[in-house]
Amino acid sequence: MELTAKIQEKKIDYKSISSPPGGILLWILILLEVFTFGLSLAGLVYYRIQEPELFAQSTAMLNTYLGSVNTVVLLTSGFFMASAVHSFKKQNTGAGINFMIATIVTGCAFIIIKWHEYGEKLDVGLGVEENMFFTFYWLLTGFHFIHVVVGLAILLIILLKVKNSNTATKTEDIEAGAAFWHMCDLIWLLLFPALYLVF
Amino acid sequence: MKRLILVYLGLIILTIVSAYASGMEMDQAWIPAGIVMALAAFKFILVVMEYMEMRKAHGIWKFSIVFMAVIAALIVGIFGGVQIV
Repeated sequence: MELTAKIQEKKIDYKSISSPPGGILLWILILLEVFTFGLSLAGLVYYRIQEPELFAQSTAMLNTYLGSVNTVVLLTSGFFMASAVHSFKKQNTGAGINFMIATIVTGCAFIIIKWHEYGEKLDVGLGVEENMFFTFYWLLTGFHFIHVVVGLAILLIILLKVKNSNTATKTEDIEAGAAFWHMCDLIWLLLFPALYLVF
Repeated sequence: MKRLILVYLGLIILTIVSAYASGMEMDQAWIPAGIVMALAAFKFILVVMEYMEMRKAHGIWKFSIVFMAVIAALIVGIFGGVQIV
């Protein structure tokens, strides 16, 4: 396959306060997202202090193995995305596209594993109203799940744009998509230990 | 590219270590919880600085995101592992 897609690279001064890698608007969003999830974790800890036994029993019902596998899957996906950005910046479009496809495939693997885990919980009746722990579990992982789906859609759009030889893609667009995807990593890196390991 | 691979391997090793640490039996339950959340914060910072290339960014961005991660990890690590009798 001949790749004629154009990646437009503009020299950006990342040291400037108004142009962090991925763009200022996306970084404001990332900070707000991390703040919101952080606040939710503080709420989770507050209720854990009220009902420590219940939280210990509820955590024991989670599938730590699947959670760990999903952590590795998401970190692998993040690695592929960082490699894709690196390749595009080196004007190696073919490798960049391949890494982006690998990112999307591993992202889909995360979705499938999480969906399976949700099925396991629902099969034994552990829904959102089971207790306070599971309310937090469903809300936090559910919102994260939606972020991953949105991230996959963004990456797919960028991939199609890069593969379309008639359009030119800016590296800033790829970086912004990558930053959103890494945000999913970041949130999961806090959610996974808090929900599955600590209590 | 070599740097990205090294960071990836580091992240995987830290994930394995945190899974191991969470299973440790200790009189002070906050110790394994603290270790797990400290490792989570470290992984968070690695992803931000290396994968998201924030090491190249202005200090205020680096400080803001690292500060939030550390505070979240501290809250969960300290209060999440406290034994309540």
